Amino acid sequence: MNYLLLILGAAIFSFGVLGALTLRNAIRILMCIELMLNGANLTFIATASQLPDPGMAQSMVVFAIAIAAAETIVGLGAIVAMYRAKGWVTLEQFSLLKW
Amino acid sequence: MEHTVASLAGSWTLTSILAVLTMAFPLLGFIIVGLCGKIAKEWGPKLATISIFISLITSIVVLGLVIANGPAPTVSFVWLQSGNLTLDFGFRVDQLCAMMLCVVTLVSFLVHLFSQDYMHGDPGIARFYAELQLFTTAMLGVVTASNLLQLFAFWELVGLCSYLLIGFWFHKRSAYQAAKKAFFVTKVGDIGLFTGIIMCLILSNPHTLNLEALPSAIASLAPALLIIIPLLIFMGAMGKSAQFPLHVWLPNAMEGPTPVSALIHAATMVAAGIYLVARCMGLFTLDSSGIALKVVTYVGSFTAIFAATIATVQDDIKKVLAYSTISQLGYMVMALGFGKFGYTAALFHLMTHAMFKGLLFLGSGSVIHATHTQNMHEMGGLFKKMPITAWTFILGSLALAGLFPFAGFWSKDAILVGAEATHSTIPLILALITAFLTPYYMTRCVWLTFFGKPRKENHVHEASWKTTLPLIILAVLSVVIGFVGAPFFGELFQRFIFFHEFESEAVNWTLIFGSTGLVLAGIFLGLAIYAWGWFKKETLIRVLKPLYLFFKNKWFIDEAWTFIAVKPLFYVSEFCHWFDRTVIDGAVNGMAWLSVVLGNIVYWFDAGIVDGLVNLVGYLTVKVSELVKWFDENVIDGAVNGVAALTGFIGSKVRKVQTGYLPNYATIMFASIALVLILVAWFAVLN
Amino acid sequence: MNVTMSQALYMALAFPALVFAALTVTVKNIVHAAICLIGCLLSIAAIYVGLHADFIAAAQIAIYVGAIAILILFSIMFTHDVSGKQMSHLNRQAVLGVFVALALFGAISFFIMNTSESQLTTNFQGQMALPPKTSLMAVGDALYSDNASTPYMVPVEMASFLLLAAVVGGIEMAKKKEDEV
Repeated sequence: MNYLLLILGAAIFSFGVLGALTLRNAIRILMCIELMLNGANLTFIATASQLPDPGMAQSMVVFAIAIAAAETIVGLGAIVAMYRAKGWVTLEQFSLLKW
Repeated sequence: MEHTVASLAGSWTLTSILAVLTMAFPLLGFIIVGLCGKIAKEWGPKLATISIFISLITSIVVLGLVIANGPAPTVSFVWLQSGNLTLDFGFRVDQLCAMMLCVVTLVSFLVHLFSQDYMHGDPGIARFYAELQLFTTAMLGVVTASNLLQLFAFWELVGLCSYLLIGFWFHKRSAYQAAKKAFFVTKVGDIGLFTGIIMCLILSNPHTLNLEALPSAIASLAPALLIIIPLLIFMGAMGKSAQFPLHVWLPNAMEGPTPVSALIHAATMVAAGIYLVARCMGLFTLDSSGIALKVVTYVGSFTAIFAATIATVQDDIKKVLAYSTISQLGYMVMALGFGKFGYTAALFHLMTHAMFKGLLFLGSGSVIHATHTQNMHEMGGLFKKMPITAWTFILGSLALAGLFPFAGFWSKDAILVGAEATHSTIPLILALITAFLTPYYMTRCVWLTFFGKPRKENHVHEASWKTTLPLIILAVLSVVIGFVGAPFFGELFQRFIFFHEFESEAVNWTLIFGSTGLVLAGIFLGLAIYAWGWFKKETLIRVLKPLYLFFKNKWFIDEAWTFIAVKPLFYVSEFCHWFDRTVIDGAVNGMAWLSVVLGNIVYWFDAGIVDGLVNLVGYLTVKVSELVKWFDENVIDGAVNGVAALTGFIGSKVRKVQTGYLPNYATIMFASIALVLILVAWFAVLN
Repeated sequence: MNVTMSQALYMALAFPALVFAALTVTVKNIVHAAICLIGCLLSIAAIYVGLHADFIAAAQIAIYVGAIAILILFSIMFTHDVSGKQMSHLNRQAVLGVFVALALFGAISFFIMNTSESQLTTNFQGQMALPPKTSLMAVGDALYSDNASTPYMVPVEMASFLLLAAVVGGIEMAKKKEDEV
């Protein structure tokens, strides 16, 4: 049945990981995180469609979307603040964690 | 559901298929031209024009079929279903729709053709055509919609296109501000419309938004609701059709390219409000007290005279036409308020007005294109140089002025007859004054533009056939289209479009001669002031100074809006600020003061009683500590120092892992997850 | 493997989703990436419709495409990175990232392929004959009804507070501070 969709979900998730690991622009990384969330959501819905009552699984996705929205707001707010303070949004230039 | 939900394939007739095709071609054109963007600069305009031409042909066939066979059965399918509520998406092709289809596609086609020259060389020409196509699609969607929500969706799409096209030259500050203004002001009306739609949906029994089923579904509501619902819907029409006091956006909308003004802000989109009220006429007539219709009439007639007076003092040729449009829309709205007596007349005027106002705008576009100015005082003497434009413009003006036997005469006459039939004295008087002002300002406009001595050096000439052909076609139509509704020629239009039943209207000779006399008087006054110079303009302005300033400043409506809507908002926020500063801050400060007092009391208790006890305990503790200190210094420190040295040594090696390079951390995180998964796979699944 | 009708449909929908996802990650221009992201989200919404999750599909379009993607586009405009123009859009350890992502994908796919069809559906055999509620009602029941089997009433309120807090926080972070010019 839904192997195809589960694999698709995994693939979209992995593309998100790929982007998050290889890109430098913070906004693009945020976009990749959205991709990851979408991959996970897709898996949820694909599995839910096998259930007699898909409401539970779908409401999980509603929460996921709500949290994604919150995460994006905060993330973008942080990015804008970062741009104000530093003038760039490339994440790898942040080195405050360095010893 | 009371109304039948036709199956998708069941009741398609040739008429409805063609009507849907009429919509499909511009949509296709929009997608192709819109997606190709810059590549489409050369062929995009041509493709768009061809697609709209095909639409025009199909719409004419639809009109023919509807004339021959009567309205096609409504085709619909389920759009969305939620609980016991079903919304359809359907196409209702009846007489009104067929007429609107033709008007929209015709004007749109001519505007497409006209713009080939007008917009030639503009870097955004492909975008322009794509937006025109989208607009045409949306407008056709409005007129074919079978339920209110569907109509509203297309209605908003039309508004969006209007916004995009007014702000077409978005690098111009005034243009994008005008676009925003148009968008927001019409939204004010749309809020009303949407509220009305929601009220219809909730209150109707059974729940429906289908335009055919709605009147009977809400007929049994309380009388007050039956007044409120039509008025809310009318609010939407007021926004779109620029009725007082929501007319303020239309004059500013002239910042858009002139062909856009012709298509959207004269002929079609602004008529959507008229169309909406006509479509929902069944709801308006439910109100047995007639208050809703009275409001419609008075708003319309006031708008008509109000805008006409402003048009008499404008200097910008497009502004004159814009205010004239508002005034004529007021005429139509007024007629709609007469219920079944004015229904046909309003739509008849809508059709004729689309022809001659489209013509006038395109004519002004031709003039502006040639002279590169919009100020009429900088034109003059163009008659010899641009004969075709001038002749067609004059024909259009006469049609707008309502001179016998041009198109405007017949439709205006029909409206006046409606006013007479319903005994609406005040609207009738206002309409007659407007009928006098209209020829006056059009005479002024024509004379300043085309006659007299050229007031500015220019080398103007007529543009190519693509510019003049639309003018000629519209001019011919402006002259002859009125005959379809003329009482002496069988009242074809009245037999085609009517509310409930066809009623022949009596020929009212008093009104015919009276209005013709007023038109002639208006033209005479215009010529007397501007052509023959019997009255010095400056003298007139001096004598009528208060009136002149009042009109010139557009009855101070913009200022009134600032005063009524914008200023109070400032005051409210000022008040909130003050409240915050004084009351809330005061409360906070009071709490702080209280805390300090309490703190002082507690301090006295602390210093006097508690301290004595504490000091005693302290003394004992010191003695014990001295013993411990000795042990600590000699035994424990040695061990601790050794551990610290070891930790430091390890740390100096391990800290190199902390690269501070963020991607590394993320990579390690995901690599660990992958590793765990692989290990689980290895041990748990494979073995 | 026999390709059934619905599988063919899913493939037709999955293909654009996959391509857009790939493009989102790989294209150089950030605006193009954002538009590809929108395309991917829309394709996923189409798949949701195919899975009878119309409410989620609507939410996906309204929230992801309508709000989040637009927000992203806006912040791209706000933070036009002048200094980064000449730089590559990839960071220094991109190769490593590719390997990690591949490994992750391999591991997840391994688990998916090793889950037998019966394991996915066994528990629900026989119940499939029940008429499915429309998705909207199912979600509404799960989220809002006060019956004990649907415990999500409080979490919904929490989520709304979370969103409110996020909005306030986002504004606070992004707004111009008074000491800045």
